[in-house]
Parts: sequence; structure tokens; C-alpha cells
Amino acid sequence: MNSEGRLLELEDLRKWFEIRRGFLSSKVNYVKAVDGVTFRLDEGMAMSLVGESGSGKTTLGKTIIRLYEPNGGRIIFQDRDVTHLKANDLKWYRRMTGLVQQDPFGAFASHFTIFRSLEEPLLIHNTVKSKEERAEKVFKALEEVRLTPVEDFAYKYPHMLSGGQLQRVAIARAIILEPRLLVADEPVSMLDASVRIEILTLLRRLQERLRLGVIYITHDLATTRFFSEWALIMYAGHVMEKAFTQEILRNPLHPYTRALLTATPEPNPENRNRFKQVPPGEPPALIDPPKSCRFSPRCPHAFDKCFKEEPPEFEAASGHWVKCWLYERS
Amino acid sequence: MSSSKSVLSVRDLKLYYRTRKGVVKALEEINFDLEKEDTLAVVGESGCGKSTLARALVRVLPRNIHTYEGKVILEGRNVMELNEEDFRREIRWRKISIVFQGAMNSFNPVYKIGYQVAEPLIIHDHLEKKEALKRARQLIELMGMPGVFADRYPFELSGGMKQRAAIAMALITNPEIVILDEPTSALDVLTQANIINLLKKIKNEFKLTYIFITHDLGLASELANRVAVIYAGKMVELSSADIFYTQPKHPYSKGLLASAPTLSTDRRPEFITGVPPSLIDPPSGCRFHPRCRFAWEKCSSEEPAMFQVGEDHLVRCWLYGDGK
Repeated sequence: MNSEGRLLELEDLRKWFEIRRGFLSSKVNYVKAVDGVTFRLDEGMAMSLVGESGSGKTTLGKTIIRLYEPNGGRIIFQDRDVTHLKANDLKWYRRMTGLVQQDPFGAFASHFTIFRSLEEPLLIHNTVKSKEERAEKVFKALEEVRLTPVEDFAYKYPHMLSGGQLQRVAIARAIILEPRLLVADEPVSMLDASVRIEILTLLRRLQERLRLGVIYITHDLATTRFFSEWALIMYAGHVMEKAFTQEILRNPLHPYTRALLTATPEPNPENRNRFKQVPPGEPPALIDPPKSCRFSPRCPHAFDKCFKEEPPEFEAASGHWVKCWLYERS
Repeated sequence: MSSSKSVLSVRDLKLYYRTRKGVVKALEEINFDLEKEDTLAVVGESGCGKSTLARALVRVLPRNIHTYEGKVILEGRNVMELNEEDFRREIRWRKISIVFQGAMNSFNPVYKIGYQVAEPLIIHDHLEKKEALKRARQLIELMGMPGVFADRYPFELSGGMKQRAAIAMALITNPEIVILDEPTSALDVLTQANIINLLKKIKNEFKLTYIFITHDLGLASELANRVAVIYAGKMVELSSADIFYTQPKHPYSKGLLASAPTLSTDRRPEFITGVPPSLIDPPSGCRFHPRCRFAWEKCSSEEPAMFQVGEDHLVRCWLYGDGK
């Protein structure tokens, strides 16, 4: 594919957090939260980042929009290297990207009206000069997220809105500067099941209509299906598998992905009569993760090599990558 | 419905809270029977009264109670008539215990896990500390944790391990009924599956009866043989799990099931428009009518009763009432 339509590329991206033991100690350890992530996202496409807590998915999301500065690798956004942008260039990148976080109740200043909260990015970036234009933008954003009639919502305070409504406002705020890339970090995990689908459907429509690139971070594989083209499975800072979402769900290759699929509960009254085959144990600490495959201590299929060497990403099928020795071509 | 075999029967349980804005009608007309080794899943959206029901059954309630009445018949005895001291001594933890939502984060950080698991034994059974600790360690091992974890402090354990300890704490006094209030909500998918496996295992071993409070219908089906759907403080459907998951009747139950995303089918998840009502001033008639696709005049003027629509299947909806 040519670079037309190419929105975001990550090359071997790393984000390590320094930790020091003791005051003034010179000994430095690292938490390797994101350790070598490579992928590409085209305009108007959505990619799910799926992983458990501590898998590095949130850190990756925040690094992509440069809330964190990477320690290694590159981020290319619209053919421009944004890995180490500074000052004004970074401010440009902030306009081009938006973030929706998990907790809608903590996302707004309680003494600001919804209008004031939505106006804030416009004031900071000074993209529109007049008050009238700003108001127009705010109302338009509220309309985009279907909080209508907009006048009813604009002058309310956050505590007067439900979680689902607040999350819509959060989305409105994230798109008000007309970004090209939206990172949605567990946008529905604090909402009720019936509202979740409503919010995800809304995000999906915005993505299609505005040709937004969307990174949807979630721990719930079941919701990736209708809301993303691509899925990327993370475990302990590594990408274990990436492919089209449908392909991953239909033909999961990595033992970890398979475990996730098995463990995801589905409404079925027969479930109560059977036990689930899921690997025991817990993800490794990222301060000193296994040097080999990071899933090997829990993997039911692990063999000698898995405990010795870290597998590269094998292309097991066209466009379907998996970081597992089982798929090494002999 | 007979209550002869049942270990727990709840009749017309009603609970109102007093707040500055008015009286919150948190629970009304709650009726159900549980037989031994049943698992009743109580499902519904947040704020519908699920957790209130859990707390009402073990009588762990805030101070601003306005009304708390009805019958809770445990092994043939109405425990609502007991005073607080007798209830504490004879019922709570002895007969019914609870794993609270977020229990894993409510351990006291300065006591070892083993002691905290053993504490109910020391308090309720007046056991020697040494003996209680020994029993706690045995139970901790039964929960699939290394026994040495009894000597650790809460911060040294992962979320899944703390949740296992919280379950041990609820089991240590050998209760008949264990209430599980969102027991896996803050856990990862794999850990959640492991905890559910554990809950199944100990249910079989200890012949337990569960009341499983959750908003996740998929998760509910992992344990439940009976399902109660609560909406805005009232039960709207009650049936066996086999019927509920295959032939739900109430429009709200159908909506909830349709909103659960699945991996095994190509069904696109749908959503119920609108939000649950305020319980201070709930809608007239059926409380679900403002969000209901099938509502007609009667639904907003008259409140439906629980209509019997099949053997062991009750629905609070006019679609099934009055000879229909």
C-alpha cells in the first residue's frame, strides 16, 4: 500500500519506566511496560488493543499520543516522525490526536459546565477566535455524540449526567479539535452492559463518518468484533498476535489468545455444568520478565525453546502475525 | 410455590432509604425461594438494587433506613424478627455470609491474611487463635493458594489471590448460603475464569447455596441455575436459568440479553435506549415503560403483578397478564 491513507506506524516501540531502589541510588531498574511494538493503522480504521491489566495496553495508548515519550523505536504519524516531538510541534500532535479515558466520572472539572469543559481545548489551542464560533463548535460536537437537544446538556454540570452521557461528552471533547486519531482507553468498562453497546456504536459511527483512526483499548475480546477492523493481543508488554479482528476470533493461533477466548464468559445456561480450561497463574512482573517467551511459564504447549529464547513474530498466515515458537516454519 | 424444601424464602421484602432529596424506594416486592444448592443469579443494571438486596439479606445496611420490612425465612424461621444481636450471633456468617463487591480491596493492610480469614471463627465460634489460624490455613490451601500465603500481608498478594482469601473468609464458618456480590468484577478475564472454577468446585464440595449478584449475564450463566432480573428496585422476571437464557419474556430481560456481546454467534449486540429511572420518583405503572418498545397505555397507568407464564417462570409485564 502507498502512504496515502496511512495514518500511524509504530516501529519497535518501547516504553520503559525507570525505578530506583532507595534514595539517590545509582542502581536503575526498568519496568518494561511496552517492549517492542510494531504495527500500522490506516485512516478510518479501528484497531483493538486487547490485554489484561498490566499488559501494557494503556501505556502503549498513552505513548502513541505522546503523553509518554518512548525510550526506543519510532512513531510515524502521517509520514512524520513524532517520536520525540517538542513544544509547538507536540502541540500540533495534540490537536491531531484525542483521548477518551475509562472513568467518565473523573474526567471533568466538577465546577465547569459541559459547555466550559468542551470549550477548554478550543481556548488552549486557540483554533477559533470568536466566542460565537467556539459556541458553534461546542454545539456541533454535542450533536455529533447525540446529546440533543444540545442546549439542554451544554449548561449542565457533570454531576447531573449519567455515566453514559458523560462518556459521550468525553468523546465530544476528544473530537472537538478534529483530530485524525482517537485513542479510547477502556471507554465502556465502567458503564452498564446495555449502555456499553450504545457508546461503542456511537464511536464506530464517528469513526466511519469522520474517517478517524481509532485505537480501542479493551480487556473484553467479545466487544472487539463489531467495533474494530484489526486486533492486537498484548501480554506482559509484548504483542502476542495481530491480524484482522475476524481472523483472530475465528482462527486464534497464540495459546494466550486461545485462553482469552475460552475464558470470556458467554450467556449459555450449560456453562454451569462445566469447568473452563484456563491456564493457572498470573502475568509476570515487568521489572524482570522472562527473557524467553513471556507467556511460557503459563503456556500449556510450551517446550524447551520457549523457556530459552524469545520468539520473533511469525507470519503464520497472510496478514496474521503471531509471536510463538509453535509457528516457526521448519 | 412451596417453601417446604427451600432453605431461604423471601417474602415482600421492602427497603427504603431516607435521603435529603426524598425517600429512595430501593427495593419493593421482592419474593423468591431458594432450595439447597441452588444458585440464584440476581442481574440488572447498576443502581437497580442488586447490591441493596445482598446487604438487606445479611442486614449490613447504612443508617439512613426509612423502611425495612418483609419476611426472610431461613430454614423455616423468619429472621427479620430477630434483634440485631441475635441476628449477628446466629445468622450473619453462621448461616449466610457474603463476599462483598471489592472485598479484595477491603483487607486491613496491617494484619496478615491468615488472621483476617480466621477472624470470624475467633469472634463467632470463640475458637482459640491458634486453632482458628490452623483452620484458616487449611481453607486457604483449599482455595488453591499456597498455605504460606496465610502469613503474608494483603499488599503482597495479587488481586486474584486476595479474592480467593475473601472467599475463604466467607466460608470459614461453614455457612449454608453465600452471597457473592460481583465477586470477580475488578479481575482479569483469565483470573475471573479461575475464580469461577473455584466457586463451582467449592459449591460442590460444601453443598453451598449461592446468591450471585452480577451485571454480566454471561458470567451469571457460569454459576446460576436460577435467574432473577431486577429493574428499578423490583423483580421483573424470575425463572430457571435454562428458561431464562433460551426464552426470556420480559422486554427488559430480552434487551439485557441482546446487549451481551458474544463470540460464538454472529449476532450484533443491541442496546436499550434511555437510562434507569430515579428511585425517589419512579415512573407510574410499570417502571420500565418509558424505555419499553412494547408499552401501551395500561403500562404507564397500572403496575403489573408477577404473572405466571410457565412452570417456574414469573414475569412482571402486562404483555403476559390478564389471560394472555
